[in-house]
Amino acid sequence: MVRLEHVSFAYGSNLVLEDVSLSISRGDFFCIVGPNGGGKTTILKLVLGLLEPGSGVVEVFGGPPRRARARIGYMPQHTFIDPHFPVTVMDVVLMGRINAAGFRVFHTGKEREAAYQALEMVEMGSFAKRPFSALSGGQAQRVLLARALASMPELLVLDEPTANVDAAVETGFHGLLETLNERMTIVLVTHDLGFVSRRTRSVACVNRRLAVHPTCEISAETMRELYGRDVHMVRHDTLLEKGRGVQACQGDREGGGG
Amino acid sequence: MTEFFADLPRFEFLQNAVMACVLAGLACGVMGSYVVTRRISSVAGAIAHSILGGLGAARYCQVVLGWTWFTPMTGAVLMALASALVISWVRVALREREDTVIQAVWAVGMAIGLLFIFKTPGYNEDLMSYLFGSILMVTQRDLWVMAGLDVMLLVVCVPLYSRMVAVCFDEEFAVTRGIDVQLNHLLMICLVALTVVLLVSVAGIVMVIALLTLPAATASHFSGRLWHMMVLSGVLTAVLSIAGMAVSYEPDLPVGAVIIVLAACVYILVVITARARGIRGMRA
Repeated sequence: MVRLEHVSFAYGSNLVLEDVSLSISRGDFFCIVGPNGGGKTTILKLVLGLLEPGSGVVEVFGGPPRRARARIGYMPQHTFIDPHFPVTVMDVVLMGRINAAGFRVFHTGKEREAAYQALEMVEMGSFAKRPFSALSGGQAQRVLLARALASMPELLVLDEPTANVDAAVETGFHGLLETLNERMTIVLVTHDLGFVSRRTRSVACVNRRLAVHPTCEISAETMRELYGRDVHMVRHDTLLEKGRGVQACQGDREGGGG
Repeated sequence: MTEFFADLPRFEFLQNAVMACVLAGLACGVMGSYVVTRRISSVAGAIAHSILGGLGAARYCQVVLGWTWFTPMTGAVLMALASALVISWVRVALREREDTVIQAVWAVGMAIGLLFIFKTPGYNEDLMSYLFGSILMVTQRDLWVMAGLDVMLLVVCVPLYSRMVAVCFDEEFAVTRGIDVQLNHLLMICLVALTVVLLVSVAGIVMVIALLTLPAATASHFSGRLWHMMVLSGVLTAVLSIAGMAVSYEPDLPVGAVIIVLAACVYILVVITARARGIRGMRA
């Protein structure tokens, strides 16, 4: 579904990604982890076609990323959005369907219905008419997820979806993504290794170079390589599901269930 | 103030001025809200100041070269669009530091204007009216030009409204929805440039930026959606401009300056009361 082959990318002379290859298949819950500035978000932007690789090939749905955009739902980092912007929750979700709306002045009932359904999916249906600026961090995050879902995407791309929300909200968000994963492929970036959930089948550790651990064979060795220093690791229960080893790993942060 | 309203039915120049305030308010409401939410007031400021270059060049060409068709309004429009294009182009193509380019356009435009004005023989009383506004000298023809710009603005902005909201709210997401953000931004900057030209006759080059942003910023406190903000700030701009004229009429004060001070007072009042009442307290 998503394929990166020998991709390198640099901002000016600053090499961010070097010879990165990965492939994501339909139904995956693919986590990209790594330290800040390690190039995680850059990978997402390459997949979305917001950036062009310096060398190598990026393919989404078997073609260039730009052509796949309509089939991708994107949830950017919440921190970049002006919290005072005058807009209702419904308006925000409708932005997810803007391409379908063309240059019409008013949205059709069908579009509103799709947007409302997306809100219902994240259990925010009753907030449709509220101002976006009045939401809590966790609620705003759910609305941004609904915006990504409004176009009924096959691939959901999330950048640090639980940055700046408390642990309870984060757990709820995990559950939501796990439910969505039954219907769509998910690619998620996080610097918080606690996020790597039970459904995760592949973890990509990126710090300029990338290492994919299909059954999460993250060891102290890998972590040291990734973060360049010793970190504590909590080894969670390993569940064997349909012959696949699924487990979560925890980096140098506290907490995380098992 | 009473004298202004007593004289209003008698003098055509006052009626023209009131009409200009209404027409300017419309454009100001729409583009001012865009400028404020997109945080590009420095771009608008640079375009406004650079207009002096166009005005000066036009005067020079009219007086020295005898190009009578090259009116100051034409010069202003051309210069504003040129500045808008330069700022956008540098941002996209050269990836230069945007704020440096903005300040450069700001100062270079004024420098060009000064040079032309210095070399234009004759009495340069116009300079002051360009810099500080001359709403009481607005002619019927100016009003038609303003109305034309308003119509154009609405024709472009109404179909683009939802794209405008999406781009202002989250540019990157808009790109992933297949919107050409670059083109959208360029178009909007050009419209901002035309709006600035239109507002110069009300508040003058130096103060136009305040007229563009203060009513919009005030309106944002009472607006749940972008179009509410546009309508409210449009009405506010028109009312403040007319009020400014009325207040300045009797003591014979500079109109543009009074309008700006009024707009600032209203803004400060709204910010302070909003803080006190905690209207926005919900989001701590």
